[in-house]
Amino acid sequence: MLTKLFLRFIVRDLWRNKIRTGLTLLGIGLGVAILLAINLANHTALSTFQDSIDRVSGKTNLEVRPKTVADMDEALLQELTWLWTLPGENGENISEAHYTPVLEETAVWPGQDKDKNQTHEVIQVMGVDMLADTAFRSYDWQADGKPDSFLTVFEADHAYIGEAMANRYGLESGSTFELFVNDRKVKLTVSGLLSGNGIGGAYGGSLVLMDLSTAQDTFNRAGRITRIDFKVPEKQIPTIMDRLTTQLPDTLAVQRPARRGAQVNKMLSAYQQNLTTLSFISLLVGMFLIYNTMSISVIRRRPEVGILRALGISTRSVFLLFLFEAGLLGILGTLIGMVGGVVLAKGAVKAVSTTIQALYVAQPVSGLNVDPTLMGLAFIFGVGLTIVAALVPIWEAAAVSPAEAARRASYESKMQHLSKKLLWIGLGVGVLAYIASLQPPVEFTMGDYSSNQMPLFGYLSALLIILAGTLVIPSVLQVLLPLLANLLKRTLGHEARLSALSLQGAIGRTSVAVASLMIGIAMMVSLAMMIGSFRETVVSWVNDTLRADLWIEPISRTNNKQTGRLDLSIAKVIAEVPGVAAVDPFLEFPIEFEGDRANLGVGNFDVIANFGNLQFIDGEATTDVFDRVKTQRGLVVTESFALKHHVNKGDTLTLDTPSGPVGFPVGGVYYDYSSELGYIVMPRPLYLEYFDDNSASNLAVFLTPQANSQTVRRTIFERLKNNENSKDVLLNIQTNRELKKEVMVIFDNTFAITYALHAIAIVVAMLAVMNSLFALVMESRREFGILKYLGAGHQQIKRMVMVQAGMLGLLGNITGMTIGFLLALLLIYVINRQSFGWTIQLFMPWGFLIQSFILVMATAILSGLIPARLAARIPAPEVVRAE
Amino acid sequence: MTSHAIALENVCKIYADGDRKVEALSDISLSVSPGEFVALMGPSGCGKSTLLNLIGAIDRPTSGKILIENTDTSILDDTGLTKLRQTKMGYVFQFFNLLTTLTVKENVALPLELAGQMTEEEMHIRVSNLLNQVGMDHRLDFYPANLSGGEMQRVAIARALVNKPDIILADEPTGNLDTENGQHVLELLQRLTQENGQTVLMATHSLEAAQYAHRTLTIRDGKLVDNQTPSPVETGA
Repeated sequence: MLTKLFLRFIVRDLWRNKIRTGLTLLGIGLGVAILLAINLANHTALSTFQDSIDRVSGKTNLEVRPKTVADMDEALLQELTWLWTLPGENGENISEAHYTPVLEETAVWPGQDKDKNQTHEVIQVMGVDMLADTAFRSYDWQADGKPDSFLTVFEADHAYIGEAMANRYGLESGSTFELFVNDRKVKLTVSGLLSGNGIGGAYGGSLVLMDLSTAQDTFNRAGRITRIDFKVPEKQIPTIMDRLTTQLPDTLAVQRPARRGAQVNKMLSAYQQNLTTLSFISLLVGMFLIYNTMSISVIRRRPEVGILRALGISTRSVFLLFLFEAGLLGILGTLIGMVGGVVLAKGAVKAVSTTIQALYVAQPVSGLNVDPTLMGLAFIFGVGLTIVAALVPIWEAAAVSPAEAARRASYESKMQHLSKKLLWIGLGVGVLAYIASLQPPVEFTMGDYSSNQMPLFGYLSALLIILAGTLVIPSVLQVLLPLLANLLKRTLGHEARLSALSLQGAIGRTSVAVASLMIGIAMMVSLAMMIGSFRETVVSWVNDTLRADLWIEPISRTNNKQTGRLDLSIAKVIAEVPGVAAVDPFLEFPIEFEGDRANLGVGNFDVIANFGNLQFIDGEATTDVFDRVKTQRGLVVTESFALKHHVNKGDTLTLDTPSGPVGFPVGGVYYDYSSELGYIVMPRPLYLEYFDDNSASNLAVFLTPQANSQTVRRTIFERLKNNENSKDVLLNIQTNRELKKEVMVIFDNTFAITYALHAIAIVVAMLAVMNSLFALVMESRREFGILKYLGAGHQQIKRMVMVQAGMLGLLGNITGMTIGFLLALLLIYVINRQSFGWTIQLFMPWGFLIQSFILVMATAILSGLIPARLAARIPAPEVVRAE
Repeated sequence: MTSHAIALENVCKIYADGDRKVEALSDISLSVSPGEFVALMGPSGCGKSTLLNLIGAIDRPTSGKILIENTDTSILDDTGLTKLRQTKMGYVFQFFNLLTTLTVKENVALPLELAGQMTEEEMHIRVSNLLNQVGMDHRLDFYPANLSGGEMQRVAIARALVNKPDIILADEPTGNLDTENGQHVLELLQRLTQENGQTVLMATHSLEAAQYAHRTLTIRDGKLVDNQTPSPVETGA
């Protein structure tokens, strides 16, 4: 019986209202597609990193890595021979503990791939002890890639490469290729092709594997290694870890390889959390769309529900009928969304990969890992949220008595009475939102390794703001609509006033439509304000602090500042170039601090004080801070570091140095937007007292006032070319303007996906407007019919619908921009600060706001075109008689 | 040429329902003189409302000619028909069809607003006078939901008369009212239209209602079966 009713009462109705059904499915589909695409992209990135870590680790179950230094001396290996004397796992006299050194570096592919596409792909280079390494890692050869002789890899400049890389660049065994390594170009020969199984599949196959000594030669790191891998019996791990920790310097970390995965996970968590949260926006707007559709579906069919109830259909059956309708829409919409999500995910992976490579890890992410769990979750979320969104109207349908259902407008009269109550509840929710926004981030543990902070109360506050806005909308409309009615009467005539009154008469439906639009616009406005403010803050920071006239980096240096060193001797050559006033050789590399990734920077504080500028958060002048830092033998930290690690000016920050932990006073905290992981910056002389690394990552060159940066750049290149020691040096030299431009390009690339997300949220919101207009027209058929009898012409009716569409757009704009402003404040001052540790100054993007206002109005009015035509064509006798 | 308020010549109306064709009106010819009150009788579904809709320029005939004050409506486009409805016609419905979002005075003013020919003040005076005449001047700012059936129909009559149309088309105006209220409404309609010399064509299946008319036309199965000779227009009640 219920099945028959479902088919006749629900499915037939959905089929008859194809446009509205289609819009609803599209709305749900888009919401689910975005959610899925972002999560698949995030998952693909993380699983790629994890996969690489697993492949590179192989059978390694313990490792020693630098913690606060860039690398370590391979002589350390000699101090580990005690491992050879450890008894075996079962007490035998033969040790089962093995260890092997690794040097991990990155290089850059210098030019085109085999299809002549320009690329500067980052290539991971691993130097391993080729004699011992097969015990640690799995080596699997491509069909024709197995080396004829195992010994060839020991020849100078010989290396194995991953199959994917070989395919991409058209390489085979015996081919030679070039890579940018630090500030030089090196030529290497392929001695074997590793298949995608085993280590050859790590880093998406963009891997060069060579013998340790070859790697050390290639990177000019004689005697240095970046890791020692251990393969020891599991039972002995605690003992071995303890002994290694005691024995080895504090600058090194003894850890399980899985920890690296957890660290990458944590490092990316803030970025990925934000994306995921944003991806929920479209689904949230989609929920309003379904609420809208279901509400209208229920309102429209109240008389029919009344008849069914009068004929003996139970409340439960009515509930189930509409629940099935929501379920059907949810399932169909979600399935559309899942297909769309997989398609969109391919683009999202690219965008996410670009940002991750630019800001976090120099490792490409490609392909798409369509995780069945995520697909399942997307299905559950899509269908579940659709049903949740539909529950109120479904309950509304089931709760009415047969007599009440048959009465026209009983829903609307209920809404009229409810609006005051909803206003008070909304205001209460608003207060809760404010209280939530004042709460600190929530700390939680990630696996066994480290804790992380999430602005959970910030997210809660955002939801509460949206909820509060939604609840107060009926009351706001009851104030605004009469005002609009009078205003429109004066400007656009009586039909316009009638339109406003019609919207007011259907306050329930109007509220739902405006709420959908409000959410879409609020999201768009808040994100635009946040991004705009962030951008302006970065522009202002770049202008204030990036004062170097020329910025010099090794050719292999990538944006995430992990790779590439400069020979410091070239700083001397450059310092002597006419027009150069000062050179600051800046060294920076990732370190581990309190279990988290951070960056250690080393600079010439005298040069920065005299020529550069840092913005300290307490407003203190750079020269004053640096004078104090010099006297106190201290350091400075960036704001994001200070916030993440709860460090304040005047605190003592303990760093593990080769001579043990040393406390350094924090002389100041300054604004920096280059890395959310944060920086600790030390004066070079102080750094050199504790660390043995007098190299540089880049050079900031300050010119005399008369010098021309282009001329000086040319002279630098000439001088380096004419110098015997530096004639092969390959550098990127950017002028101040070029660097600033690049910073902004990276910024815009980083937010590209965010722009896309909020554009889609708006599309979903516009679908809601269209849907609402269709519904309003359907619901107003009788009114339009009567108006025709009373002398209204087609054009007048069309105009009325268009005015209604415009009014929905206007009301959506007013409420959306108000809520959007509040959300922007929350994003800027709470969520962003708690996620990334950045202070963003609020800037109003007036231009964008005006543009988006016009866009929303235009879209709303355009989306009224079809409903207007439908309204004008309504057969008056039929609709009036039917009533 | 004889001057008629309404004249129909061989009017047919056929509705197509897929391949099936339903003849709602068949070869109707009639005329109504200015100031005449005519009752259109017949059972439910006989075509009374269809005929009113054709005369009221809400719908177009399939064939035949409809003349409203000697104007052939078949040559009018949508704008012309709209203009005709705005200026010549007033409608009273069985279910009142007041707009629930408008107050009493706003409902009555609606046809004037749609025609857009009068100032606010002029409209206000006209609406107030009319509501005074129908005895609803004490409910100017009430919404329809707060009125009784009889009151709603009085407001609907005021709305039908507000643009001073020459022709009032009333479709079962008492069909949703009790006997007492029905009588009041008909008396009102008769009195006001006679005062202004307006022509009334009223569809009804009530013999009591038909007694208020000068003559009765009967339709059965879409055909005019009884076209009583027009009687001289009574000028008194």
